Amino acid sequence: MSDFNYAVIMPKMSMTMEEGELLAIRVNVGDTVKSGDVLFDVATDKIDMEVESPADGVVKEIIGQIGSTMLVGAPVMMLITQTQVMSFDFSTPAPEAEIVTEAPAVVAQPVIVAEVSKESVKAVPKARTFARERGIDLTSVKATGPYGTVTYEDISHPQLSAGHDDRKAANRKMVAASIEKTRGIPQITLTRYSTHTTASLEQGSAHLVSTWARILRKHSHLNISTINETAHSHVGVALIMESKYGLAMPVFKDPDAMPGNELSEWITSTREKARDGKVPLAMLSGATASIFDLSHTKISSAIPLLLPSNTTALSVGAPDGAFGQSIISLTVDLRYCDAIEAADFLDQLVNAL
Amino acid sequence: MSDRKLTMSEALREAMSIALDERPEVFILGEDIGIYGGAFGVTGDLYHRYGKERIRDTPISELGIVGTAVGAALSGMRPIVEIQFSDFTAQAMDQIVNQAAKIHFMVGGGLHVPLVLRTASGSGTGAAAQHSQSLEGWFANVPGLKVVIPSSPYEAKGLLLSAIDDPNPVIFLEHKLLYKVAGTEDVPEGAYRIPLGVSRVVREGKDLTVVATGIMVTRVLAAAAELDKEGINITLIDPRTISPLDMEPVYASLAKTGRLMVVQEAPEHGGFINEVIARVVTGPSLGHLIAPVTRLAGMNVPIPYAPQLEKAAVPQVEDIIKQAREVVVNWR
Repeated sequence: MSDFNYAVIMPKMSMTMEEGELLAIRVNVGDTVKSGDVLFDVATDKIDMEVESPADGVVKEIIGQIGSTMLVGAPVMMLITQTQVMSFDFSTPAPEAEIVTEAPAVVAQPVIVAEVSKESVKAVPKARTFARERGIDLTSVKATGPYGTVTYEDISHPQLSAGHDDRKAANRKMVAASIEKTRGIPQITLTRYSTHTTASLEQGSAHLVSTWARILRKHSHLNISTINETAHSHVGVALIMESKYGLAMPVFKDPDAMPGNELSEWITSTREKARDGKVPLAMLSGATASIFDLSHTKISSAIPLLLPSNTTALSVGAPDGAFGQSIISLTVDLRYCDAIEAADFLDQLVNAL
Repeated sequence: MSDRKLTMSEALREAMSIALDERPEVFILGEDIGIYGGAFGVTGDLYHRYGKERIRDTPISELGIVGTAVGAALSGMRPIVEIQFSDFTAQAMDQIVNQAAKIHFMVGGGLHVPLVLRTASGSGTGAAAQHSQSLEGWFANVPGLKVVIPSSPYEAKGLLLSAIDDPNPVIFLEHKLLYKVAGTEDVPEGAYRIPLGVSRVVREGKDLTVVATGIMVTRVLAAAAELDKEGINITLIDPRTISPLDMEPVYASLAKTGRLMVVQEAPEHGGFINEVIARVVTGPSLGHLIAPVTRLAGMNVPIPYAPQLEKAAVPQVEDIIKQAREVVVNWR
């Protein structure tokens, strides 16, 4: 069996005890002691107590001096024992010195400081990862997020969130790309005069949107998705309008289910938001048809272009000064609607207006 | 399989009945759980089916009830304690925290305390400040206690059976508003067990990961259905057991959504949701975040008595919709 060096310490005898006075030492160096033999006496402000040997052994060294005050935990004497009283073996000195010498090596202050200052640009974590992986300097990225933060989009799709002009260009490209998708579709555009009159732009747009929505709802084969050839459960009319970033096409879902004045207000508020470049996210998808309302411009007609997956597109020109007639044009996807049918729908619309 | 839509009360009673049949050492104790059938009617007819020895009405002393249960658990029984309102656990906190939770550890694993403490939690019933709290955070902060919050009848039955099986104390927090609501999922007739410490992905969506428990699962689901119409799609994760807490599904989801929202009824300050946030920002998901983490919790006030104020003090469906929409729209 191996010998252990065991330190008998100043015991903690109450919750508040921090130090104790060594009153008496009952053994000498070299004495053989048994577990339970009294080794020394301790006094605190509350109690005097005998401290017993925790194991059989031999007193190796006496550290404490009689009459001295010692901190709780300080070794009073060392025993050599064959019993492993506690798992800690004092025969191997604690490597305190090593810890001290190693500590400075761990601290790499200059590097840490440099990192922090470099990263003081506000950016979301994923943008940082993205920048780090691609070697992009975050200070060179234009931040568009709240609190001037670089968003993930700022760095991954800068064309979407970059400067105003860039964004306009990106928007134009997006619109062009979507129209390009419908260019190869067999289509026909029919044109007709209408003598309808409307007081304001908003009332006119609302009337037009809800009237066309009603016709689409009645003729569900005009309101299908050309992508999966299934009928839409809703009617979504995209109204082309001006925005800070060029054209916007917010979608008005089921406009025919809504009172005219409410729809008119909805269109007005959406036009305002579009001008600020802030079309609600929910209105950016779900179009089943589109309308280009030019009635309050000086343009007398425009050929409507189909949006992807839509089967119809409509445009209304400005009324002619002399006769008060406007030109209404309807483009249809010939795979889903023939020209005669289209003429009928256009008539229905004009009559309803 | 035939249609089996139960309320949470019925599902819990069924779980207890199965446990009473399976193990002779299971018994239930609490105030008015016998002849009266429980403050919220959860124990129901169990008294008439199993008798007064196994369904034990106790005097009105929560400390005494839990103390008795701890002693019984130490001597080989499996007590299920019902405390009428979780607020009253404050009376029994010494037995719960200093005894039940610690005994197993203080004797080096030599003893077990197989005790389940079921109690009614949360606001919404007009029961005011002393009968409406959500105290899960207290218990989650005590090592040695497992804390379970079921969100539906199906979950409640499977989780309660696992809690009864567990060899050490489990706090089982049942939201009052869920007791009488029939679930959307069928509850199988016999025994089934949902393991403690495994989160459930309730639904998946691309834009935002929401972590919620109990009644908030119901509210987040309602909010998610509305947000779907706006093109905002939510992933909802219900940890079910908040201690221990299984974060893996949250990390996996954040890799896809990059946005985290945490919802709880309990007051925000010091609440359990903050632990979820802490694990995300100190763990593997930080680099996936594309938005600041957002939290929605009860106000830091005692639950008011006035119904309008009571409603305003804790997250409602509209609050969830608004905050979820904001974080998705503002951070891309």
